[in-house]
Amino acid sequence: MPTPPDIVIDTRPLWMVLVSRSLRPLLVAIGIGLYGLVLALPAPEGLSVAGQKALAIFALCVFYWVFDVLPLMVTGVLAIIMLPLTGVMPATKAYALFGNEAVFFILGVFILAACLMKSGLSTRLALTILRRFGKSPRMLLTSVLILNAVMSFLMSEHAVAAMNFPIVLEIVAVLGLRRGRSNYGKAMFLALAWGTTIGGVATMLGGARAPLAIGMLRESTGLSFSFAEWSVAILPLVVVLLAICYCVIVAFFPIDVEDVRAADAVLRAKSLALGRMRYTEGAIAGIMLITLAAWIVGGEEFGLANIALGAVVVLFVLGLVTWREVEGYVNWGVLLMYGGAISLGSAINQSGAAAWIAQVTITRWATSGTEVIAVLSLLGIVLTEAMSNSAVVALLMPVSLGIAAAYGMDPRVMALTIAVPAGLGYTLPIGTPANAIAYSSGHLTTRDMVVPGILLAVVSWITFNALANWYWPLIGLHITGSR
Amino acid sequence: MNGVVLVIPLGAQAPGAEAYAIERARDAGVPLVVVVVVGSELTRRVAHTLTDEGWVGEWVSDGVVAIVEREQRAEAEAYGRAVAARAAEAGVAASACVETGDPGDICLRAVKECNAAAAVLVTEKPSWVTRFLSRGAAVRLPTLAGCDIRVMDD
Repeated sequence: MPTPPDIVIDTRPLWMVLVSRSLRPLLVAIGIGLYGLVLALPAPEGLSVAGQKALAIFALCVFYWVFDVLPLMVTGVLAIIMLPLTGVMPATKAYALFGNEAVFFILGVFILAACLMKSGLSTRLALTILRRFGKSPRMLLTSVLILNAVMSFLMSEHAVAAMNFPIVLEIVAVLGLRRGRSNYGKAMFLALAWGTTIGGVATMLGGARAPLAIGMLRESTGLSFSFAEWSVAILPLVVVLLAICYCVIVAFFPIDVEDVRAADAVLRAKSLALGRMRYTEGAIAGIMLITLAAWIVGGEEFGLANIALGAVVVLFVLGLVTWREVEGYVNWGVLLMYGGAISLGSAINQSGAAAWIAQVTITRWATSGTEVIAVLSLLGIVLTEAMSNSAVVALLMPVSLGIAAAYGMDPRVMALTIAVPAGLGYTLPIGTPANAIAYSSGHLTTRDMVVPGILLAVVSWITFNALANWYWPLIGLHITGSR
Repeated sequence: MNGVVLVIPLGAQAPGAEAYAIERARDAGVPLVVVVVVGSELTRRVAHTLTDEGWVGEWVSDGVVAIVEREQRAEAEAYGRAVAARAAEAGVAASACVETGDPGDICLRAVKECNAAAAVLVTEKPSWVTRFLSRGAAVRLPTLAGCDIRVMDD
């Protein structure tokens, strides 16, 4: 006769048991209540009926995104189905927005990154660079920071952090750095996390934020960015932030090791284990370089998504990857989340709700384009610590387009102002995937990340605003405007 | 009665609890069973952040989680061995093992399996928020007839 399982008695106070078990249904109900409340309020002046309905859906989805009530992608799907159900947008149009070029660009980029990882090419690149430059403690730390940043120019920053995590972990282990005690151990993992975070905003490939913001921009205004334009606008920020980041790391965690030769032995062993470069890696490297050149040179003519997906097709034609391998490396939920966000953003803008939100919020606090940029970038940096960076873009981008119209600003500036700060999350250990990976090493405490992270966030905000005011006008992006 | 059980969550520093458990075992002339507990909360949250916010694929996320689990387990084993070695220096026979889950539940199970006379359960020192929310009870206090279970902060 099988032994009955032990009965576990929850000895917590009854109110705590009830709250913990009813929290999720409670949040679901609050979201529905919020939706009903926005719909039931008398229509505000300047807002159409469709705008009020769109606003109600927006409030519901933002609430669910912020409090993580449903998985992000499911909330994206909720947005898609509610738009036609409430009559804000016809079903054909709402679902057609899933076919936005930005969504397919993201898909192509993720598949290309999957091939880089799967082939071992990205690991080989990381090992080669670390072996070549990481000869002293200072140089090794700098190499980790810059390597992660530069790799995040080419593939998803989160994938870079996940891929380089075991390498850094082994280096730290072979150097005998004690968890929680070694400054150098802390510095190495912060360089891993913050290097990818800073590098991830440099191009459209580092994360899906930039393509999402551009997708929403194009859907609402018809304007866009070329691959090169985006990078030219942001690269100076990345260079400055990397230098500041290094200074912050070594200021908080002065280097306390003198010799890193043992790390070279590990890196050499790992390189040997990879063996000589194979045909697959060489072919994928060639295709990636051609793709990159095509994005820069012919992105506007041929379309970024077409080039990305064309490269994916070539990878399959040459037999360099199988669909099963791609499936394991790509999170398909991203399509639902981003498709939903673009549909919702479009509805908010076309219904006039975005302009109305802009009118009743930021126009009361900011009188010029400079102030608008300062407020929005601050909001982005603060919000991204508490919620997903894609949710931050989904929340702020539609509203910011309304604000741009109200202030007579170039709407393209808004894409940069929302997407870039939304990627700069340094502070909370589980706030971003890169931070979570670094924290899970056991070398960092919450305090180790929060205190220098806040300083870096403040410096990033100041640097971003300086760039927006003094550098962007030089490349034709004007933030000037006023009410 | 077959021993004294010492349950320590990984990451907790509890020299006082460790010394007390060794002393109890030596006084009773029984062996010490050291159980180092690895929580699953960190890996669960890392996996969630990677897949739901980082949009990385299942294989990538699983790879990171597997590395974190392996590292935690290795650290827990080393820590358990170190405590057992200190007990041996004090003249107490000791064994160490690693478990994953809730420290309170694991403590109860270990006490039953070892038929222990006493147990020391180390808990992480609760913040004021935790103390407020739980009205002072930061840990689910395990109770078992015939066994003296002592809960100590790290």
